Parts: sequence; C-alpha cells; structure tokens
Amino acid sequence: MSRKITVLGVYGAYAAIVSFVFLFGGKQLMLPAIPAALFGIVAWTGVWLIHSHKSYWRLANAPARELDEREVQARLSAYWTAYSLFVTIVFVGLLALSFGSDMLRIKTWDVNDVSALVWGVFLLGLTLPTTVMMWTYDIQPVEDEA
Amino acid sequence: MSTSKSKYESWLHRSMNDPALSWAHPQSVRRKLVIAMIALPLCFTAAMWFLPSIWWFAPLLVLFVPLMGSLNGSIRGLTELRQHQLDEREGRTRDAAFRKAFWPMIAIGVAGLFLLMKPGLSVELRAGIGFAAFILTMTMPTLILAWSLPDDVKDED
Repeated sequence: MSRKITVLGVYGAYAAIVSFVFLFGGKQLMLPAIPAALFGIVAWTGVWLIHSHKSYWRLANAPARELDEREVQARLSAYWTAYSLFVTIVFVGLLALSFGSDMLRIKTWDVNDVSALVWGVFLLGLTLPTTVMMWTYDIQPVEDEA
Repeated sequence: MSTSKSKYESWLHRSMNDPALSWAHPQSVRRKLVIAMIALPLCFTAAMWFLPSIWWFAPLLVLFVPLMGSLNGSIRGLTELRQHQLDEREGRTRDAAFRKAFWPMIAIGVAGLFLLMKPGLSVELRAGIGFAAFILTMTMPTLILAWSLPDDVKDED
C-alpha cells in the first residue's frame, strides 16, 4: 500500500505545485525563475523517492539477464501500459495547452512555463515504467528451496 | 490467436488477418512502408516550413490513413489487437516493441516540446512539428515491429 501512496504523492505533489504557481496566483508571490527552480526540485525529489523503492526500480530498468522469466514478462507488460499512458497524457496535455493558449491569447512562453512542462515530462518519462510496476506488481518474497 | 469477444474485436481481428493484405507481409515490403511512414511527417513539416499552408493537412491525412492501415495489416495488427486476442509469444513480442520504443519516444517528445515552445516560429511550422512528433511517437512500436519481424516461415510439404 505504501508504494501506491508514494506514486500518488509524487505525481500529486508535482500537479499541486504547478497548479499553485499557475492557477492560484503563486507566480505573483515569487521572484522570477523561483517557480522554475521549484519544479526542478519537486521533480528530482519525486525521481529520488521512486528510486528509493529499489526492487521496483531494478525490475523496470535492470538488464533482462538479471531478471527471471516472470519478471521480464511483467516488465514488458508495464512498458506497454507506460507507453500508452505517457503518449495519452502528454498529447492530451499539449492539445489542452494549445487550445488554452489560443483562448487566453498567450503569445510567448517564459522560463517558468517551459520548465513546468519539461520537468513534468522528465518526471513522468523517467519514473512511469517503475510506477506502473509499483502499482500493479507484487514482488513475491524469495523462498528457500533447501 | 484466441477467440474474439466483441463485434468490434472480431472485425478488427478479421481485418488484420485479411488475405488482401498479404502483399504487405514480406519484410522487404514492410521496411519500405516504415520508410514511407517516417518520411511522411518529415515531408509534412518541411512543407509547412517552406510553403506554409493549412492545406498540407489534406495530403497528410490522405496518405496517412492507407499507409497506417497497411502497416498495421503487415504485422497482422499486433499493436492494435487486444491482449486476449494474442497468444503468449505474440503478446511478448508486442510488449518488447513497446519497451524498445519507450526511450526514443521520450526523446522525440522532449525535442518536439522544445521546438514547439521556441519563440518566433510560425503557427504552421508549430503545427508541422507537433503533428510529426505525434505521428512518430504514436506509430513507433508498429514501425519497430514492421522493421524487425522476420518473414513468415512457409511449410514445405
């Protein structure tokens, strides 16, 4: 259960900080470029938290020769899910952004806008296969065969 | 392949295994289709750059639909059919293609994002870059399978 809370917490924290900065007036409260630094710190902290679930990080990223048959199968399936999720989230997001910027007549992007997107893509891209495994796969304890 | 469940899935399964698409099954044909599918969005972006016009979407769509259909048919719908319609080996091959495509997809997505947000680009060029990145990332697992799957082994009686 704790690993699902970690997943929700990491993505939820990033969504919350972006919402705070852009939707709830946080940008006006901060010095220029502070939000960009904040996005980077939250994204890196998220990657570090997901990475701290070492057995799942290994499952998602280790070379196939280090995994058994069942783990390889679960990993491949997780990448299929991660791919579909990533493409959907990023392109639906871009579409919404495109319509939003047209409707709000936004002509230029500042460093904070670009940072929010790039750090978001960084966080999702780097962690999504691992978080899909954390959400869907139970690592069974190794039993001695002696 | 196991049996289909819904009408749509049955139709998809039949379409993807239609003998009329057997011309696309040899690896040499599949590779030509892959090259055409990569060239299409790149030409579209170049056209939007040099001769900006929203009308370039018409040839893009006219060429994209049959090309994508042929590519899907050439791999018998491995990336389109549901998991329960694939046998264990096919499911594994499909998932492995998605894993191979994951990091290149991220790279193309990030590069596309940077270019889209670059100041001073025309709306047409932005549209070209956006659609090229979209098409390449959406189709990449299909392209990888179409390029890499070996030719069918024929029974020799």
